[in-house]
Amino acid sequence: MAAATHAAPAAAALPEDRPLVKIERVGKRLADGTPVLRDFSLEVGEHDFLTLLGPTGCGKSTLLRLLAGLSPATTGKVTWAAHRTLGASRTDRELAFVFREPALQPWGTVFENVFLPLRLSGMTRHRADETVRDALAAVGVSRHAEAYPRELAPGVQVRVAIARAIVTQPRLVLMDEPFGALDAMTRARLNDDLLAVWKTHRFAVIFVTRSVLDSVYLSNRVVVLSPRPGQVVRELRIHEPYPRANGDFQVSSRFNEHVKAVQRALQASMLGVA
Amino acid sequence: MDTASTVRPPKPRRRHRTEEQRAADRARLARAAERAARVLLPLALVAAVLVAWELLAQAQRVRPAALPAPSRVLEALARQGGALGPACWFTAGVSALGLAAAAVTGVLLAVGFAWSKWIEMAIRPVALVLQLTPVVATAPLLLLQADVATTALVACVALVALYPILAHTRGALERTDTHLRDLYTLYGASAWQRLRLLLVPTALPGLLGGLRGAAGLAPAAALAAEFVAPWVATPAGAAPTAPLPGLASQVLAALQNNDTALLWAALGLAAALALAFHGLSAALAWLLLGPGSGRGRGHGRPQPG
Repeated sequence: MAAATHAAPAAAALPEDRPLVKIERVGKRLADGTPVLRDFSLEVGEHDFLTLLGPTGCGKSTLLRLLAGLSPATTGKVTWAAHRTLGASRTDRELAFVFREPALQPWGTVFENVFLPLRLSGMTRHRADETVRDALAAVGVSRHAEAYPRELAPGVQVRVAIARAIVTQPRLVLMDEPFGALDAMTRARLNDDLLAVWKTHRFAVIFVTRSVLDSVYLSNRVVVLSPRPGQVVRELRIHEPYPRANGDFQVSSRFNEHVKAVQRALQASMLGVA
Repeated sequence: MDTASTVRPPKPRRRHRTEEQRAADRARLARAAERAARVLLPLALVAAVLVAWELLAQAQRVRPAALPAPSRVLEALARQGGALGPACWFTAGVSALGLAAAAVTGVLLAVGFAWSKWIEMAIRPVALVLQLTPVVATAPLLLLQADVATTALVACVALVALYPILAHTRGALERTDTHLRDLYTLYGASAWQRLRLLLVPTALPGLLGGLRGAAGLAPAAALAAEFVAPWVATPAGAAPTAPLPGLASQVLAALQNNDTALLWAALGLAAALALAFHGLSAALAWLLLGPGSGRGRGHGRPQPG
């Protein structure tokens, strides 16, 4: 991989992650028998920011739902790090999901929406107050705490959805094209803020996107999938230091080379089926 | 016109208003006019009919026994106010109780439907048939069962009001945000939490919509049941029961006495009652959901960015 050789001079290598979840030869068929995922294997480290990139319908979202325990795998197995209780156990709070839409409860304020995961685990509003306020502050929506979702701009709604995801101090946040509906400016700001939150909170992210630029900018690992049934075609490591928000990285030639490499991998994946 | 406009130079215009501003003003004016027309036109129509009617009656072109003048109807309203008022309250009470019973049953059933499709398959057609069966047919059966006739009247209203409430509430529940459902699953929500925190708030706009549909029907159903009541023998004896003190009793009394003016007054009150119920249910929706839809409007301003 050519891009990896252009590592930045300082703090180039990320510390090697301990594995958080191991996906082994997982297959998934829809109810009508259509295979969505086939022989899918992937290991995610404790502090990875991993992007899944691939053509429409290649099973990216299916994989997230599968990891969240919202739908079962047909074959294969998913192993979580031994000392953890990840998975869809009833008391699980170590896993969070940010959906394609913000999916906020329209009848609740921003505070109530972010409080929801803690409330569902039996916490009182009084005890949760500080945790919720911290989560709101982390994504910069403190001043909207008492607003209702429909009073907020789309970008702010997405921020609230992220606050709701991190309020339980999860180990893994699954994000399914969370910024897909936003304009480029809002998206760029959210990318930076998401990276900042990720760095301070030290969780792993699996981020589904269709944007090559975003995948290179955000992640340390880009995983390119094949068209349906989805399989890992290629994995590219983006060995670049964080924070990347200073503006240098995005205009650097290294950035362009990463983008080209990812683009090529994506094209190869598409051609593989044609 | 054409020649005039081509020959004459345009009049000097006020400088400080641009073409767009004036277009916007015109659009605003047109919208305001339409809003006003929505209220004023029906009122004007009713007023015109009443005036024409009064004039025809004054000119003695209609038989007062068949079509009394509006002034005579008003007079009857004043004369019989002492009897009409309580009668109106009775019918209103029956309607309100029936609606309340339908709301409680409808929400419980809708939640049951959302919970199990088998329950829905079994009950939904029955609820529809119950609503479609005319009140005059169901009322005698219910009156025969009930010890207190008023209970039967309330049940008649509830049967008519149930289906719209049930259908609307079920519809709202069907449109529950699938992502929110997933979220509740992800965080291991209990069935009770799911019901209280997700299903009930989701169902509320549906319930209020259904209530608005049913509210106008309720007084009509109550009246129909009241009409039937005197013809049904009580379980205690074979004699017809004393007429129930509702608006229908006033209508029946007016018919017996050939008091057409009173008949019209009672009918006017019945229409007013239906209108009031419709208005109250709309006000309730406004109160709980805010203008338009969704709750909590006015708690903040939309924020840019």
